Amino acid sequence: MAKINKTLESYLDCIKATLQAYMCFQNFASQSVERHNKPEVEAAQHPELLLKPIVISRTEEESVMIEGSINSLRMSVRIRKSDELDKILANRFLRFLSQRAEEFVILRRKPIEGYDISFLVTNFHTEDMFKHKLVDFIIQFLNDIDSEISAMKTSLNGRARVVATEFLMQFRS
Amino acid sequence: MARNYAAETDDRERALNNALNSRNFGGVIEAVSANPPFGCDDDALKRRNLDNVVRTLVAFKESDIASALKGCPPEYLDVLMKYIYAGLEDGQNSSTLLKWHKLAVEESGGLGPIVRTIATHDSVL
Repeated sequence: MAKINKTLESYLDCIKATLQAYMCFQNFASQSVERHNKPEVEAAQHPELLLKPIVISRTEEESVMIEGSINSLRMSVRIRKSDELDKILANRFLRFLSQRAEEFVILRRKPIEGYDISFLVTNFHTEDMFKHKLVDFIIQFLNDIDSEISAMKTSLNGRARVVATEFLMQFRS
Repeated sequence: MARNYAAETDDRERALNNALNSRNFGGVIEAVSANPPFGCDDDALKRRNLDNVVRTLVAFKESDIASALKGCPPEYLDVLMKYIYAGLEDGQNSSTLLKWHKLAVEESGGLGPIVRTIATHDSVL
């Protein structure tokens, strides 16, 4: 899979290896509730089922937290936002994605506190889909998200400039 | 049976400084990975230890990391990986630590050190 962004490469390589290590699931029925099957990383009831969480930071603002368990993993992403406009765009765009979490299958509806978006992958997902493809999807997402947001920012600035010029044209003497 | 973690931390700091100054890269790996502070209750001590280790790892030139890791025994790679992940938490020095991570994974031939970091309770922090 061609990585376009060279500066991100080692960061994404680290995340990829870590994800591959965490993504070893087996079906595990809930120990606390009869006939229930919950992602244990979400239930967080029994320490023997949970793996140690890991935070991989590229900078102080840009990081990824991966928490794992016997049947699921949760990956939360904090994205680089260099100014106020980036913050608003990232917030809007990622909320848009999160609200359509059912379509995305491995997205979590709400990001974890302190992060912008969260993925939740369970054993049922790895039973239906290829593990290496799931990892590739997440890495591709991380690769593309920065360029998506800068593209949105450029188009927004362009539109704003056109609107402002048109508006102020009427005040030209 | 009680380990003197403070003494070990000081020893490690001295060994790291010596090895780095004499450019003894094998010695650095040895000093980093021997006697890890697992089970120590003193958080400030563990943080100081981590700062020393990360400072030393970051002082390596990227071209030297691979040769330093060559022939590293798996137990040392495991401890090194724990330190690398602990150092990656706050976002400082990330580019060098990410290089260390990649080369440590290559040297170990797979995901072993990573799995052992996430699956055990031994922690350097």
